[in-house]
Amino acid sequence: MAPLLEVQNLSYQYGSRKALQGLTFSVEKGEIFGFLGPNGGGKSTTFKILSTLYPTQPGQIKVFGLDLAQNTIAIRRRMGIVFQLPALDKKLKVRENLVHQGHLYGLSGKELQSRIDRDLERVGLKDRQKDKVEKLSGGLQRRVELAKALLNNPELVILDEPSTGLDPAARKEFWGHLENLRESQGMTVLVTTHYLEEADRCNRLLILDQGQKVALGKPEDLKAEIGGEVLRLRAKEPALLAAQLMEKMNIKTQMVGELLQIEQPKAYQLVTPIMETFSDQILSLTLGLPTLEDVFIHKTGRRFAEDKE
Amino acid sequence: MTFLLTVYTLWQRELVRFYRVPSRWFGAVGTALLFWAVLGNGIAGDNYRAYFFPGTIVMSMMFSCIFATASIIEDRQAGFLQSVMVAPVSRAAIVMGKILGGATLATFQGLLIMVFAATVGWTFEFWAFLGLLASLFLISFVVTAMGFWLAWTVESSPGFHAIMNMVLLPMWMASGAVFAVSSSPWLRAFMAVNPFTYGVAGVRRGLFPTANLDQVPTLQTSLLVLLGFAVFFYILSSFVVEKTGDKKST
Repeated sequence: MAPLLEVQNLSYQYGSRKALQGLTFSVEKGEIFGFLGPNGGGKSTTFKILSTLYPTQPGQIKVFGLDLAQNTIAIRRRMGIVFQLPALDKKLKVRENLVHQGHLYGLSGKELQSRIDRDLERVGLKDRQKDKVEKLSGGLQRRVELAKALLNNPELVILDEPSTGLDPAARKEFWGHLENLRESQGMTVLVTTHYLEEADRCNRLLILDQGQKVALGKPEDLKAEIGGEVLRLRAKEPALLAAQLMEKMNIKTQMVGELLQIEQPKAYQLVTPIMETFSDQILSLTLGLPTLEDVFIHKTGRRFAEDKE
Repeated sequence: MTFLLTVYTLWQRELVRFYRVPSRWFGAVGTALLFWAVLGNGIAGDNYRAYFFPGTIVMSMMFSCIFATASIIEDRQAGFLQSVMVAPVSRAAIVMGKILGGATLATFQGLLIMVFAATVGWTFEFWAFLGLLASLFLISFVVTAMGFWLAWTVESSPGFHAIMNMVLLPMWMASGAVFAVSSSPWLRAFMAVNPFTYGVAGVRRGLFPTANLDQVPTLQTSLLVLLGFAVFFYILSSFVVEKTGDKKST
């Protein structure tokens, strides 16, 4: 079966700044596909192009087998979108927001009312439907946005950093809804995020940095690529230690921020010899299983969090 | 069908947003009252007070238009506009809904001034009143459409207000609202191509159908010219949104 979304060689420029450079990937029906990357990495640009807000520049995008540039309206009809900026009218009640959304998608009358009931039920907001949106907490407002995006029975839902500004509990909740939709409706979900724990919940992940594809695959596969464990050393003089490790023990290290990082199979076996030789130089040593952050570091040589702010 | 539904839903939203916010009511009614308190008492002579009355209505309407179109910038900043722009609807329908909403509110705000119409010798006559309504609505539409176009083009809210005031106030002053004719030829020419001239004229003729108004365009001319301007600015706004729209909404 053809993929639900096919992106080929997509580039985008803001003036002379290249936001995306030759991005190619495809998304299968029924998966939660994540875009992970630091701010400015190209996630939001990708999102804006896919949501049809930005025109496509060089490159080709096919959604549902249709060319995005040619069949914009047809594709819009079958897509649900949740923006990073809240797209609700806060002066209106929850239900009123949904009614307007329905109208914009050509829904009206009983059909619209029953879909609104269904979606309010889905996101658990039936009892708040008569409240003005501004009275709702951030987490609940996000759920209204989701209900709004579901109204037209989309085959594809795309979300831009949907849990920004939510507390961890609300974030977890929101993700529960997404996973539920995928399982019960077979919906395809595309989501951008800069939260590693969210990225871990995606079926597949595209890691973006500086407008380029850094990695693509299942989170567990990406982490397995690094293999074994990751050893992190905090040292008085990291550069010196790195040189000595190479010289004396033939251990390759990577400088990540202030930390020296060692990635190799069975890295735990290095703990004792390293400590025996260099204990006077080492301030701390930690051993952990690779995280998506390690994947990012491994591929870019930079820490993920550094770029975040 | 989707076109009408889109227009309807965006129009309705403007109205709901108006009546949900008490301060806007207060502003609308308060403006009308203050205008009248100041202008009605400050202007000497019953004749001039009556002469000035149509201009007062149009001015009240004008402020409402500025307000309504500024909300486009607000919609954009708040994010509401994005979800409208990615809906499978024509840009022309979005523009129409928004302009109609603003024009409806502005017409209403202009009509509020009519409460004082009896004090300047107005008597209700069905057809004349219909003419007044039509003129007031059309000039509202023209000003809202102009404002829409400007708000879409200008990025910042202060910039928008600065330009709107700079453009609209002189247009209002040179519309026959304050003085009938000018001896300056260029000002006369400006008055002839100024949509406000026709708006004020239509309202004046609607208010005082039997008065001697030789120097004022006829109701028919006024309505036709206003319609022309309305269509022109609507098309201009739709065109701008079509061209730059999707990107500008973020």
